[in-house]
Amino acid sequence: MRPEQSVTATNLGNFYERKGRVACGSSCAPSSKQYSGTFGAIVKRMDTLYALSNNHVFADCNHVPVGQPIISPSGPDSRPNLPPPRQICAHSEIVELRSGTPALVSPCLADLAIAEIPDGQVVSSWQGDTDGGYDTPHVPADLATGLEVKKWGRTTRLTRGIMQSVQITTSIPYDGQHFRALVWLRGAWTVESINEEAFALPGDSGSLVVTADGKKAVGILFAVAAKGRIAFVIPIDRVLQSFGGINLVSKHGV
Amino acid sequence: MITMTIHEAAETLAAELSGFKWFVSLGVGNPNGIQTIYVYVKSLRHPQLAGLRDGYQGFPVVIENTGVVRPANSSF
Repeated sequence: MRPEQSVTATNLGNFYERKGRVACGSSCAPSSKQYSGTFGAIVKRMDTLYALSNNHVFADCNHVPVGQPIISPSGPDSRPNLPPPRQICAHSEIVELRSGTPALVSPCLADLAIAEIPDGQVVSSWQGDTDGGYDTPHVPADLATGLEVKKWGRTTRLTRGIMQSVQITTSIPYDGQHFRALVWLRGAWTVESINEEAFALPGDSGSLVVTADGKKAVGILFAVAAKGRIAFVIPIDRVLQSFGGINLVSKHGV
Repeated sequence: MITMTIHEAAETLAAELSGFKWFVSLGVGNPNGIQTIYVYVKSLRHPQLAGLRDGYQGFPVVIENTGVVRPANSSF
């Protein structure tokens, strides 16, 4: 076992409920996988509800079959004092991850996946715990350097940061079970922690980042660097344009 | 004298640096109203970075040692 895996294996994931429903920010994963990510938000396309997270969370980098149950909490995060893992959605669609030098292969624009929610009574648009939590905002923010933000995530719970810069290009080494490759991605924003603590750590992938007042959505977190002090976020306008157009859902089971 | 927009400068610099194994990411920000190029690297001791500390194409450059960017999934 590598030291990195040992650390994450002992980092118990968080699970949040709101009125008996699974809240956003909770641990989740495909039922067939032994890793954890974050259930970021509920989105709607036409009249269908979906859960939103990363491709590398719901699809293990392009490779989880359509229809695979997504459970919360994830298998590795299951423990005696939590409700048993239950299906919240079924894997549906991805924004694909591609590998290759940018001169030959178009860089990726997002790391996203959606999973259809068969029973809307199981989930809530509430983000995180009762204490410090908030409803998912459905209005997109105008992103700018210095914008103060926050997020709820499976590993680091509620954290706060500041938007830093929009990336021309970023190289990210993915390491899925069937996809091990360097992916180049354009247009992500960086968020820097407001203090020396991590803004995000492994397991927070898929978290919805929102403005500090909780009123506007900023983007979906997908990667970290600098021991978690810097996080990479897919901007919300790009998120909402994905999958043929989706909308964030507020006031659902809150 | 500034002859490029910051986005043109950033695109040019990204193309110059993206072949190096120590390169992680390059972005553009506007801290305190000053257009700035951010270069994220796995380590700082490279001759190509020394020349950037005074700026690039007239724009200030912030160089940060971030280490590798990792997908934030718990298995990685």
